[in-house]
Amino acid sequence: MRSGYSRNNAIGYFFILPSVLLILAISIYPLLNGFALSGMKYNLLSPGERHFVGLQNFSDILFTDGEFYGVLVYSFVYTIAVVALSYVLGLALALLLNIGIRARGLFRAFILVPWVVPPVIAAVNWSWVLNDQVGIVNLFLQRSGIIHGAILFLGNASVAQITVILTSVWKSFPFMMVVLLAGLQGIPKELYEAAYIDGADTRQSFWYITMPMLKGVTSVCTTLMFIWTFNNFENIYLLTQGGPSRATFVLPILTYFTAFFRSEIGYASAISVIMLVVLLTLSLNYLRIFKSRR
Amino acid sequence: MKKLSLAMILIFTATISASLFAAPKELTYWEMIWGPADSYTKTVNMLVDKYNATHPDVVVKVQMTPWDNFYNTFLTAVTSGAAPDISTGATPQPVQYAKMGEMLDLTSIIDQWKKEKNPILGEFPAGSLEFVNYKGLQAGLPWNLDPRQIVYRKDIFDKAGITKMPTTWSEFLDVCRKIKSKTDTIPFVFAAADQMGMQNMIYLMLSNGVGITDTNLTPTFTDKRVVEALQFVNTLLKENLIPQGTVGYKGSDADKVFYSGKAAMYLGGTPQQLYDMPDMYKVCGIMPALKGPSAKDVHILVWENSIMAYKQSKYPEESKAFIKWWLENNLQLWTEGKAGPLPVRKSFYKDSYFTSDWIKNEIGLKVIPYATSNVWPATGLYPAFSQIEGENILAIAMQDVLGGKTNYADIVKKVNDMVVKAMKQ
Amino acid sequence: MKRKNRERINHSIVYAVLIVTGFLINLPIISMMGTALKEPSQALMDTNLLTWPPNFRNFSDIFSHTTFGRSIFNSAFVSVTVTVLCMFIASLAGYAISRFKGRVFSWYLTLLLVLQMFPGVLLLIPLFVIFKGLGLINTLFSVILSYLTLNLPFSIWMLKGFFDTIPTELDEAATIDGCGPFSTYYRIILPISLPGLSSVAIFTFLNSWNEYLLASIFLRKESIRTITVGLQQFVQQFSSQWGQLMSASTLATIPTLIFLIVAQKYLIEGLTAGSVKG
Repeated sequence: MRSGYSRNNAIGYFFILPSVLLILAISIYPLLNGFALSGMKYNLLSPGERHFVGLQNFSDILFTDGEFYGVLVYSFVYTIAVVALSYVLGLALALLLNIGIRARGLFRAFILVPWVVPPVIAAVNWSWVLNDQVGIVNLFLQRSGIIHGAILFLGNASVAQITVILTSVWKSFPFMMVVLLAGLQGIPKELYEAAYIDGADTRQSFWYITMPMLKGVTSVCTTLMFIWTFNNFENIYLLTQGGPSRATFVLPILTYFTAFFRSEIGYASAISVIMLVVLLTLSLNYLRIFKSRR
Repeated sequence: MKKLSLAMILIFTATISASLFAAPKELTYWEMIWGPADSYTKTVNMLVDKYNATHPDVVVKVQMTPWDNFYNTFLTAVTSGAAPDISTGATPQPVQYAKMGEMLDLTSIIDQWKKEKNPILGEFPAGSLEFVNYKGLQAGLPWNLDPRQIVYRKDIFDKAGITKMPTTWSEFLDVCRKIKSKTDTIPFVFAAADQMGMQNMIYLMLSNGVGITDTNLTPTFTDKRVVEALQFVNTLLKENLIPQGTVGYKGSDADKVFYSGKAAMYLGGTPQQLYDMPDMYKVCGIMPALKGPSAKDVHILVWENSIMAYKQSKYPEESKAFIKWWLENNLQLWTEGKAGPLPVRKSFYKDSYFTSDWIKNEIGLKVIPYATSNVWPATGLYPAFSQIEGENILAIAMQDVLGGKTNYADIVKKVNDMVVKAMKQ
Repeated sequence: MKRKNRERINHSIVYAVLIVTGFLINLPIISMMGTALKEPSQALMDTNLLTWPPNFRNFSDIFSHTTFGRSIFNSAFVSVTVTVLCMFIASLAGYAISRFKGRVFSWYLTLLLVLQMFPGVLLLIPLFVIFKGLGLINTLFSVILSYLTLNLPFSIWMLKGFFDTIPTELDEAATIDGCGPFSTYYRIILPISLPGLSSVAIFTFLNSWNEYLLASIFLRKESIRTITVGLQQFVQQFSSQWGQLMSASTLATIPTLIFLIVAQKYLIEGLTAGSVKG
């Protein structure tokens, strides 16, 4: 594929060296530590009693844990929905902001604001604007006669499952937008001009030029977003703490509870290792499919 | 490589510290944020400076610790061998870390007070020291009481023609109904989604004379008095006496609804917000304790919070000396720092600060005398409480009912099983 | 002429869509700023989104009674340092992985992906142990190093993706002109990769700006607190000073807004050499 300087990899090693050193110094130990703990029975409250149990944690999670599979299913639904919606929204806005309109710089910054707000603050304000009694969204919808009773955005289990997806999309789409906008910038204008001369309309040039050209960027940003969303703890926790009645419980919250409130850090590490294996299998296959289609 | 440089750093620091032979002993004190940003930190620093000035051999350094994620902050530091010397913290903390073997025994402070015949010993409410005694080890010493109570709007009560304060749940429901029919305010608001959900559940249970466990630490969540509490919540919901969205309310949402004037009563902590709201401050009051249908006595949930010292400390005696001084001399945390929870020491209540402010005065009169701990009828904290609280287990029952479920037997069984599981670990 | 008219109509639709989405997206932020600009006693009392005239009491209280200004400076220092270092280290690595073949590079790329997959909460204790060993607890270096390392994997991935779209003919031409690998990367590739670089820079900067978990554990001294930790001084265990909290977070967002307005410009600049493409 890429030819470059393939004969002189030494220079390449030199280029990746700074990042390798940092990662070896800081990231590898915590990761290996996590793997090691996953084979242990280790309760933080009684550190003296920790001992090696082999694959016991894994078999417990997979075969006897009553909580795991239910949480796994919602985790997947949640993650897929967030990635898909934030991609669509991010792409739509990137396309709009790529048009030569005036003040687009200002619009671009304005639309990126969700990213700037500390998550804790965003969560408090979301629940205020979505409140059934004083929230501006319900007040507006009721006054304009669109709905009668208030929508219980966070007060009804199934609605809350959708609400946390939407607020997570709110947090995620700016990344998609920025990356896709950069991707759009990389598509040579000549391609569109040629297509225009050949009589292609906007829709055709979108499907036959824009989308294929964005493929590389798309595969990377959706993969990363999938991993981040699947592992994200605070988006949901800050808004609902996994409630009501654990309807919005996802694996990172389960891991957190297990590790800290139940103090079972070995068991929690095992859950994380399973998550890692699932994510790795999925993302490598996903990336391979993307590559082969190119 | 890394090991070598680490060793060099160690040798280096050792030489330096040896050369500065008379260096003062440094104690780290992690203080939680118990009061407003502008006054509390300042007062804590002022008191610590005073201590440092009178104890030249010791330097206490305060680090204000945020509540958000405090559980992790402590656990990570302690597990990694970087615990502070002294800290305050949430109610279950002393016993949780005592179980890990990380707490210093503070019995010697009590002994010293006994020797001095210090009147301070008589100021700790009955059972409050025992509460943080874990298997004979005095894991902490209580210094503040954080009460839960109902704040009500006098002006709305007047408008609804309510003259007599309710004392039982059914009278309370009647008051709610009256407010609903006579005014356009929501009668009652509280939070259920965050830790307040668990707290409000315990509040109702205690008010009906039942705790999480019995005296032998056997969970009692399937008790009929718990079911009565859940039925009470169901009545509130069914008759629209609380917002329909309550199940999704965190403390911040309940705050917003009550302090925007949309509701007549609010169940929660010390209403600190009122200090910033002069108009509202004038028209609010503290409701006397309520009794559930099966309660024999009046019980109000009050969280007892402690100060503690860690075994990892290099200077255990100095740490204990600081704690002793701190408990003897910290009145200004309230009078100047405006701490939210109330003092443990009875004599403090005589200060004009507590008599001139109706909030703290009324809480002192109407709530503190009925103070009941979160683990009542058990007499001491147990380590599993940290998990029950952290995972918000009890709130699940409340949330099920607020979500419209009425199969109480299943709900209490499910939650009881979770409590049993937590107690086992 | 006709085409121009149609464009104008299209543009006004685009404006309308952008304004409406912009408003909806910013609802919580408007709510935050609205609360910040209310008189302290009205912070919760007033349920309107915005109140006129605005009141700046909360802001003056923050500056006169707390050290929040210092926190803003600390955050800016940390985020800028992390972003600059991360851009340099990640683009070098991304360029190498994009241009050099070999198993080491593809394994490294997979390893970087794996590093993203372990939940952050479980990394806390081991990370703390490392930084304690290095003696960096309670210094800004601890967060700078950890943010840098945590942001590297995705930055390398993204940048590798962007470099892949730049044709290798450019590198080859540069080599013929006598450029070594480093100057090819530095003089030729980096300048035309500005859109990609800036998108990654924006992300790294904001990640560092908003991080709370590690900061709350590593930075315990008042003088080195970053804004996310500094904000927590307005939060008591079961009650908060909402007016001041919202004002402080508004203050915290203003520098980032300015950064965004500046940085997004580079998202569309720097593609002068685009003609070689395709």
